[in-house]
Amino acid sequence: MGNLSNEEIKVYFDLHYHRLYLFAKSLVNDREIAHDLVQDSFMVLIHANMKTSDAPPVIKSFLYTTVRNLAFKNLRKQKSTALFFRKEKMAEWEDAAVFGKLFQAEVMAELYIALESLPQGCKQICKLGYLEGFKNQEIADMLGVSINTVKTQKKRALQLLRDKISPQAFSLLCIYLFH
Amino acid sequence: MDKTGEHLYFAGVLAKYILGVASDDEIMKLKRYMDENLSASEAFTDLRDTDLLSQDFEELSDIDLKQRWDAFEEKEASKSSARRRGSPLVIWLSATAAILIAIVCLFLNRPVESNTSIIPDHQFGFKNDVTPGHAGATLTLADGRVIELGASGQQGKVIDTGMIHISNGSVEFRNQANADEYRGNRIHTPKGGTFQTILADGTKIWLNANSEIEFPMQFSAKERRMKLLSGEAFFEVAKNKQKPFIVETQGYAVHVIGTAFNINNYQENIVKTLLTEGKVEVIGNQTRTSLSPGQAVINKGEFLQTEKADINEALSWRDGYFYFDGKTLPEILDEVSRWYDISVDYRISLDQTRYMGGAKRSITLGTICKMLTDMSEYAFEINGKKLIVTKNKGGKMK
Repeated sequence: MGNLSNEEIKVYFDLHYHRLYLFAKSLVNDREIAHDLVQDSFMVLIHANMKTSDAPPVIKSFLYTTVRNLAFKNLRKQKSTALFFRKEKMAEWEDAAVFGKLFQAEVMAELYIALESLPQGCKQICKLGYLEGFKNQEIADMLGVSINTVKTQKKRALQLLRDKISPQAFSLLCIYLFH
Repeated sequence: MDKTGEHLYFAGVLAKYILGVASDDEIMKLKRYMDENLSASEAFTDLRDTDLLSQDFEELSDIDLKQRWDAFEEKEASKSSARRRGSPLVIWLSATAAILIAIVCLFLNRPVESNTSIIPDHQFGFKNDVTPGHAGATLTLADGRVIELGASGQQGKVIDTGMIHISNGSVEFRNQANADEYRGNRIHTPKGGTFQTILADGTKIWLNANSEIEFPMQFSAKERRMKLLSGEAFFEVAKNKQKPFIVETQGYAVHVIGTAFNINNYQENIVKTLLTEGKVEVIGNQTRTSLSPGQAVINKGEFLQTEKADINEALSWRDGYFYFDGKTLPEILDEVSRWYDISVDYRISLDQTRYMGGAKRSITLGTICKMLTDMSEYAFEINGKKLIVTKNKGGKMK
């Protein structure tokens, strides 16, 4: 077991880029800077001496924390003075707010990745249903399909997504699907 | 699991919940987590703004991972060759470090007990300037040994067969075994000092200036009990449902399972506990109360009074900032005098105007004085380790 290989870094890159990007953007409010920050965080990861034996969640936390620190460094550079009187609170002081952004970025990224993994028809229906809040009948009308098609596709999505989660009392989940 | 890991885990569960694939058990735990974390519930409410979601989704689908990876590899390759060449930046940093060490040594040779020092002022026109506080504390072990923390030569020190690790700004205790006998260690910070302590269970305690805590070398089997003797400390308590964590203060005892909060006992007999994350139970002499994040409790005589609080008050000093929002000048000067280890000479009485603002704690006193003079009707001057407050003849500048 040794340091992370290039292949492993790439795996984490592909896995975490989206969530880190959303998080970075929520902190600095600039797309290009957000991309730079994510890139820099992987630079830091390479030199951080993380091992192959470090659990994936540890690496994910590390990347998020690194993005946060780099974002603050970036924000501080933009303030020319070390002190200030100001009306609005600076994001970095509100630890709770930062975690809120981290939380939100993670939820959004997980939703994105889960939905993107679905086949086209399924994906479209699920996006309309779960993200945009349309009822089954409304979706059926919008897409010009039967309400049964909508229900079937949602069931299919459930099946496909279930493969990614640990086995639990699965039968009860169906209640949430058919509102 | 550390705090970040915990937040990420529940974010994943929430995503599952939204898609309808979360288990009953997960949903139950999620509900409890949302109750204890204001910011998570707020984030969830924001997420329901569907415009936000579809906007971000559009953006995410525009990201070309392959292109981003190629750009990354290129940058990494060029950076590593630059490092090998020994870039000028590294040389510049080394030179600065050498000078800094020289200055610090000068001060250490003087028999000075204070953590802050008088330095010449070249920019504000004061008699002199004063350096800000920095990491420093005194550890008194149960067996009576006294160790100066933060002094040069102490970094990286390991004592008691690996049970105590001292580093730059923090000391870590690693003896995880339980013990029936209570053998207390004490750590106190001088004026202008601050230090971080990590207990064997992973609990982190940040000590503000002029503060003192007492904790056992080893916790008992049933509970983790310690004391805030005076001053101010920020606690990030490691979660352990089997062993509650109890902080005894002058006014009351704070009981937690695992959470983050700040206790301020600078004024004698007044203890203010502010909760930033999790849940705590405060047990006083006659009454008890529980707190949610964003709430604080103060002891008023025999009773405990709960109020809404600004968590920045607690978090900013821990992160190295002064936080002056809503404070009056006397309150601001109180904190300033503690951090710079100075006394204040009031040659005029101050009004109760409340200000908004902040500053890094790493700046010198002169900068603060200039700022206060510019912002208020008063003039602030430094003479030795004294801050003199007089009427500002120039009037307030906007």
